[in-house]
Formats: sequence, C-alpha cells, structure tokens
Amino acid sequence: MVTPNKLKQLFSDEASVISREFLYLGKTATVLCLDTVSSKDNINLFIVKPMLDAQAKPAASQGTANSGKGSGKGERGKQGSGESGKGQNSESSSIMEHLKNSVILQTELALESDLQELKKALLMGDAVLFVEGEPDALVVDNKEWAVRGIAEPPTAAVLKGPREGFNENLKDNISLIRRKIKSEKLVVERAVVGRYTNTNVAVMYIDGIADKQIVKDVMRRINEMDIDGILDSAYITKYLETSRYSLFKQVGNTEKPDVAAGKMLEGRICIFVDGSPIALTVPFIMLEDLQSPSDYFTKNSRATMIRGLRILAVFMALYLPAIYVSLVEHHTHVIKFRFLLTIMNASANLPLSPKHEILVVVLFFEILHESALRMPRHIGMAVSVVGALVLGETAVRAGMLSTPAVMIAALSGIALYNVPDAEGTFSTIRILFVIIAGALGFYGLIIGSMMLLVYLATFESYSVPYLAPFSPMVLHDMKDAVLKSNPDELTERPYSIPTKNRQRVAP
Amino acid sequence: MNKATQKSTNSISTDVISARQIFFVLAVGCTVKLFMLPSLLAGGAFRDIWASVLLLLALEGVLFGLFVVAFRRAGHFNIQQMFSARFGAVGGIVAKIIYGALAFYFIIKVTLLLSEQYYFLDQVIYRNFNYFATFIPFLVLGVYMASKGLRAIARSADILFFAIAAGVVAMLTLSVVRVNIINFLPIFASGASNIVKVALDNHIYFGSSLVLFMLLGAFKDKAKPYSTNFGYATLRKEILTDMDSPTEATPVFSERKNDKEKKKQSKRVVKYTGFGLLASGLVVFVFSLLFVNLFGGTGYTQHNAIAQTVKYSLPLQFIGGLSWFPLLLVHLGALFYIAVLFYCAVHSATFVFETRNLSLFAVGVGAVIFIIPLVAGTTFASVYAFYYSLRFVLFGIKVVAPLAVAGVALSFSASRISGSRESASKASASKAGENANKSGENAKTDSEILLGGGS
Repeated sequence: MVTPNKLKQLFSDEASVISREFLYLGKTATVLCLDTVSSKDNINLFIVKPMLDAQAKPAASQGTANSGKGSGKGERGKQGSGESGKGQNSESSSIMEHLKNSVILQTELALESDLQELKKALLMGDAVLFVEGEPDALVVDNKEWAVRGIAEPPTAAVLKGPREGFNENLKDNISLIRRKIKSEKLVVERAVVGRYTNTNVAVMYIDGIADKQIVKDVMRRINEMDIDGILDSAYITKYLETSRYSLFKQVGNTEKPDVAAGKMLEGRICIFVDGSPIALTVPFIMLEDLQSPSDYFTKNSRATMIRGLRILAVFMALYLPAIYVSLVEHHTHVIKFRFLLTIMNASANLPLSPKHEILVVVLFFEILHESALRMPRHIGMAVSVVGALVLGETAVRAGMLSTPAVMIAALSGIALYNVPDAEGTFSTIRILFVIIAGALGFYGLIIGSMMLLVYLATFESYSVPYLAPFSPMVLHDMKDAVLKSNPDELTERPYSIPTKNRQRVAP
Repeated sequence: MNKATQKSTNSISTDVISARQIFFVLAVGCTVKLFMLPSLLAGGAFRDIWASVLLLLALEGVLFGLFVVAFRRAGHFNIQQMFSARFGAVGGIVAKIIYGALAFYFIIKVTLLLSEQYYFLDQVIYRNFNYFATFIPFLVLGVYMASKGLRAIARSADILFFAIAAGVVAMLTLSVVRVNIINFLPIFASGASNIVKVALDNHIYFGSSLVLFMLLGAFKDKAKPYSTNFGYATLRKEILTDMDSPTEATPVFSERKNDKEKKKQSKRVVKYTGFGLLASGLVVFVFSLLFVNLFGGTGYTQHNAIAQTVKYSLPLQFIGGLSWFPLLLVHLGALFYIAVLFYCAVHSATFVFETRNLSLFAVGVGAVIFIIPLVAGTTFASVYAFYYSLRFVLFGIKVVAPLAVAGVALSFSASRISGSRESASKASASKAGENANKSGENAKTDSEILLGGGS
C-alpha cells in the first residue's frame, strides 16, 4: 500500500515535497506536490475545496462510486515506453474512484499504486492525493512550470509572417503545432529520456504522410538513449544523426511553429524536447539551410532572387578567401596588371604570406564573432567598434595586414551569415580551402571541391540524399528549391522526402 | 531505416546510374579532347584535323552501335554475367580476360590524360608545377570517388554538368573570331592516309562507349511514380503494384517490370547515351573547326589548344582575364571525366579478381598509374610516347572487347527482354536481381525509389 511517507522518503530533499493534510470522510487525506513545479492554488481550488464541499453534502448524494473498469491509466497520454502498468490494482477503491469520477475538478486524473510512477508524477509537477487506508493514490495534473512566454525567436526574425516561437514548455510547443495542424492524423508519440532529468520528448508527425520506417528509426534511437540527462534538444541531435562525426548536420532545427508545421506537411518528423525551444526535424537536406521562412511571405520573384543570392553568398563565403590566396600565391599572371600592382603595393613589406595573412584575419573574425555572442548588448556595440577599428584600420596602418586581405575576409564573413544555421560548418570548410589553396592553388581547390562534392553527394540523412534536389536531380522539387513557386503550383509533396501520400493539392 | 535495411538498399544503390546522369557523364567527356588532341592531330593532318575528328567520331559511333546491341539484348547483365550465362565457367574466364584488357586500357588512358592535365597546369595555370603535386591529389580524389561507387559519379554529374557545360560554351564563344575560310583551304591537302593515320594514332582520346560497356547491368531509369489521376482504377493499380512492389530504383530490366516498361526504359537509356555522345562529339568537332580557323597549318605548335584559342578573342582584350574561370571549369570537367575512367579501371580490376573491394583496388590502380610516368618519364611527351608504343594493342582492345560482348549478347533472344527470369538463375552472379527484389520487399516509398541508387 502506498503512503505519503513512503513517497516522501524517496526524495533526498524531503523538504521540497509539500504536503497538505485534511480530513475527508473521517480519514486523513494528504496531497503531495513538489515545490516550484506544482500549483498550490490549484490544489486548494480543484482538490481540497471540492473534497470538503463534497464531504459537506448529504450522504445520499455521495453514494458509492462505481467499481469501474479501471480506465485510469490510459488517460495520461502515451508514454514512450508504454503505459505504467506496474502494481495496478484492478479492484480500485470506491473512495478513490468516487473522487476521480465525481469530485476532483481536473481533466487529467489517474489512479496509481506504483511508488516509482508516483515519484515520476511528482517530479513532473503533478499532485498526488492519498486517502488513509486506500491502496491507490490519485495523480492529478497540476503542473505549473515557470516558463518563458511565447515570443518571436531571436534566431529566426522575419519582416512578415508569424512571429510566434517555441518556448521551453513542451505542452506549449505541442499546442502551437496543434493550432497549425488541426488534423486527427497528427500523432504525438512520447518518450522519457535521461536517468536524472526524466525529460519528456515528443515526436510529432502526420500519419499517412510521414514515412513509418523513419518514425520507427527515430523512436528506436530515442528509446535507446541511455544518458544521465537531457538539457536541450542538442543532446538528442547527436543520437539522431546517422553519421556522428560528420561536419555537416543531419538534423534540421527550427524555433518557429509555422516552419515546423510546414516541414511536417512535407513528410518530415518533428522532435520536441521539454526544456528546449528548438524543434528538431528529420530527414534533413542541405537545401533547408538555404531557405528562410520569410521566402514564403514575399513575392515569388523576390524570394527566388534572394535564394539565388544566398547560394552565391555560400560560394563567396567558401571560396573568396581561397581564390584570393591562390591568385596571390600561385597565379599572379591571371590577375590584371593594374589590380596586381594594387595588391602588390598593399602587400609589400608584410610579415605574413597571403595564406597566413588570410588565416590570421579569419581567425580574428571568428574571435570577434564569439565575443559578440557573449557580450551583453550595451557592451557589444563597443566590441564591434573596437573590432572594426583594430582589425580594419589599425592593423592595416601598422603594416600587419593588407587591405585586400581584410576586405576579402570581411566579405566572406558577411556572406557566411546569410546562412546562419550552417555558419559553423562553412566557416570550417573555408579555412580548409584556404590551406589547400595556399599549398596547391587552383588545382588543389578544384580537387578539394570535388572531394567535398563527392562526400556530400553520397551523404544521406535517413536515406534521403543530402544534396537533393540538386543531386540527384529531382526536377519536380526545383519548384521550391531555388525557384519560389505559388502554393497552388506545388501540387505534390517534395520527392526528396519519402512519403506515400504524394498528393498535396487536388488536381 | 535500420542498418539491415539500409545495407540492403545500399548494396544496390551504389551501383546504378540513370539515363540522365550517363548523358551528363558522356557529354562532359568532350573536355579531355580540347587540350592536346587538336595539336596532336594537326601534327599529321594539318588543316584537316576536323576530318580526323569525324573519322574518330565514326569509330565512336560504331562502338556505340555495338553497345546498343549488347544493351538491348542483354542489358540486365554485366559482362561477366553475360559470358557466364552463355558459356559457364569458361565464359567466366573469358570475361575476366576482357575485364583485364579493359582495365589495362583504362589505366593507360587515365595516365595519358592525367599527364596531359599536368602539362596544362604546368604551362598555362601555373608558372611551374610539379608531377607529384598533380598526380597525388588526383589519385586521392580518384580512390575516394571509386570507393564510393558509381553513385558518387552519377550524383556528382548532376551538379557538375551545368557548370562544366557553361565553361565549355563560354570557351567556345570566346574562341569565336572572324571566320577565315582561307585557313581551311586546301581541304584534304594532307592526304587521306595521313588523316586516317593520325586519327588512329590518337584513338585513345575517343572511345567513351567503352565506359558504357562497363556500366552494363547498372543502368536504371524511372518513370513518374504516381499518376495524379486518382480515379479508382489508377488508385487500385497503385495500391496493388507501386506501393508494395515499386518499379523504380531498380535496374532497367527488373523482373518486376513488364516487357513494355522495359522496352520504354531501355529506349530512354539508348536515347540519352546517344545524345551524350553526340553532344560531346559535336563540341569536339566545332572546336576543331575553330582551331583550324585560327591556326591553319600551324596548329601542331598550339599545345593546350583550349587555352590558346581564347587568346585572340576580342572581348578578352577589353574584359581582361575573364577566360580563366571558364578555362578552370573545362579543366574541372576533364578531371571529372578522368575520374570516371579511373573508376572504370578499378571496376574492371575488381571483376578480374572477383572482389567488390573497390577501395583496395582503387589504391592498387592508383599506384600503377602513379608509377607508369615515373618509369616512362613524367613529361607528357614521354607518357605519350609510351602510349604510342602500345597504340595497336589498345586499339585491338577497344575494338575486340565490344565486338565480343555484342556478339555474345546477340545470342540472347530479342523477344525476351525480360530474359532475366531465365538467365538470372544461370548467371554466376545474380546478386543484382536478388538485391532488386530485396529492396522492393522493403516497400520503399517513391522518394526512395526515385532517389535510391545512382539517381
């Protein structure tokens, strides 16, 4: 038989377990909840008061509760590892049943007799009601987490379009998705991960659109996770990636419900982690990093142009420093004579070779970037000014760096931030390209580029080619790749993403 | 997808290429013929190099015809399976000899073309370049690409083709100057025998059809997986067929396709491969005309022709070094095509030794290619001289191997394009068909179908 004391003793810090005792029908009733994650007001409002009121009513109106079929367990929604079935007493107490069916004013209620499950419920923020002498306890939904409100995500600001963003509360996030996709086919599969954190994870997809094998694979990976704690969705990313040591990410992410819903409508699967505002999406293709939600809220021609510019920006970011190094170190005869003179004058008497110079400037920019991320806003401005002055002006005047090198590195850096989600990867690759170009020039750059292309061309995320729809070429998907078409022209879901339900718009 | 499923998918998916992709690969093959070939031809044919080019294209056409015969009759087999199906163990040995000869052919071809690129880099792109700096990086690329399988080549072609094509078109456009008919005259002044001799002396530059023979059994094609007509009959057909037993992402002659589908898809493959060779040949022919137009009888001195022809371009006098970028794209195309040939050499070698360890053989083949110039001489002239001493042997391989394959293929019945049902059981390696069945049983969605394999 479960008792409040037995449950309290499971906690190392018993003081954080708040207890409210009162009399009900001559027996001691105890409500336990965990401080700071459970609503004390709701306990009084929805548990204590109704019970005391019910107690005060004539005995006839209380009656004996139905013995019931014991439907309690299923109402709490799916758990990733199946329902909690341990220790269920099929002959539930009539008092607890009566309380559950007729007295307690809450939506999610469940009878439970397993101490471990009761402990989990307390940790989740639920309240647990004990009545003296009863074998079961009643778990009452009573969560009140301190969460951030729904606001515009800082990483995905748009000029037009929805400004909602996910927050750290899993329920809020699921609610935001449900508001976008009001369909009975929307499935939420749950799991609890983390030995100490017991973090709730929700896998959402649209039944009939998402590929079942991918769903199974994702659930298997999540359920097989054996880790102390999950503090953010980034922890799960590592387990979802098919190639762990690749530079390229294989799991998409977004903070916007409209983006997540859009991806689910294309056949992807969304993974939410309680405590993280970032939703993960699989399968992932590189094209997703080259698109922006704002593309769908501007005119097609403008969106197409912007997408093309992004691709150009990626090439600039990757190749500009390497091409500069190649030209200046190995292929000076390619440069027009007057421009060559300018470069030579700027580079004369410098302590570093062009290759090392570019690497130093790129390194400075990376340090500046990291500093800017960590600075408080009011100091960040000063850092920007100092960085620009130090790197741009003073270093050149002091003869440490040349103007072309600073300009090239700055252009490359600005181009890099056109694709913020892939900034880290491309930054690493551009440094590799600079090293290769410094050693072998254009030929090395071509060979390096081909190797990168071969790698990416054979790289897959959940069996979806990473470079789709460019390689392999899927002409149908080009309508929404670089080109931006009208929604009514996108009659079928992208062929790049596995789904058996291809039709999007009625013919 | 769990590892077991993924493995079975990958076992077929790495060894297939679609019609579109092979078109891209073949079309890009024109780039290797734009460097030394014009000056080599001009050494014997002078102003009539265009005639030598036409002759070589005709030879290419004959080889392509042999390929079409082989593909139509027994395209579901690779060479080994074809010979084994007809002649049993003896056929298997003969197939190995053919593969060995082809491996030798491709190794020499890659060595020569790579030396040519080294010469180009040394003379044009760099002020001075290094043999090791040319060969080693390329061989690393070649080994890496070959180890990834045909899929790497196929998918890379999808992206590279457009850039390379733009480079080729740009270079041709920049090379166009005022047409000077005088430089073409007199026609056939060098004599028919010289035209033929110099063409046959440089036959190694042509022969892309041999690549097609290496790809027998690996072609796949796809039709649109689902009809947008959701009438009952279509839907029922799709439920009963496409959803459970997909017809795409499988070899063209998959058992699950009916004869009509196979015929349609094999026609598509033939069409695209033909167009690829045609496109490549057209570019080479047009370039040869431009070359003669510019240099007349002095063409034999114009090494690295593609870099020489643009020097006289009027636009460049105003724009400046604009030609470098398209020139590098052409060079990229050449390197890509040489990597394809490298893969063919590795592929052939693995069949000789009956292994599918592409990585190991890629390293081995790479080592051979690296050593040949060290022995023969690292300059292009030395490597060319080495090739020249073997030109008859290589020509024999180029002609005899396709003839043999086409001859054996003719023994397969024309009415039984679905001959895979009978022959698969006899073939010594029926893994391609079994793998196709396995991947179908995994009830792939149409994106897997569409995207699985080389496509």
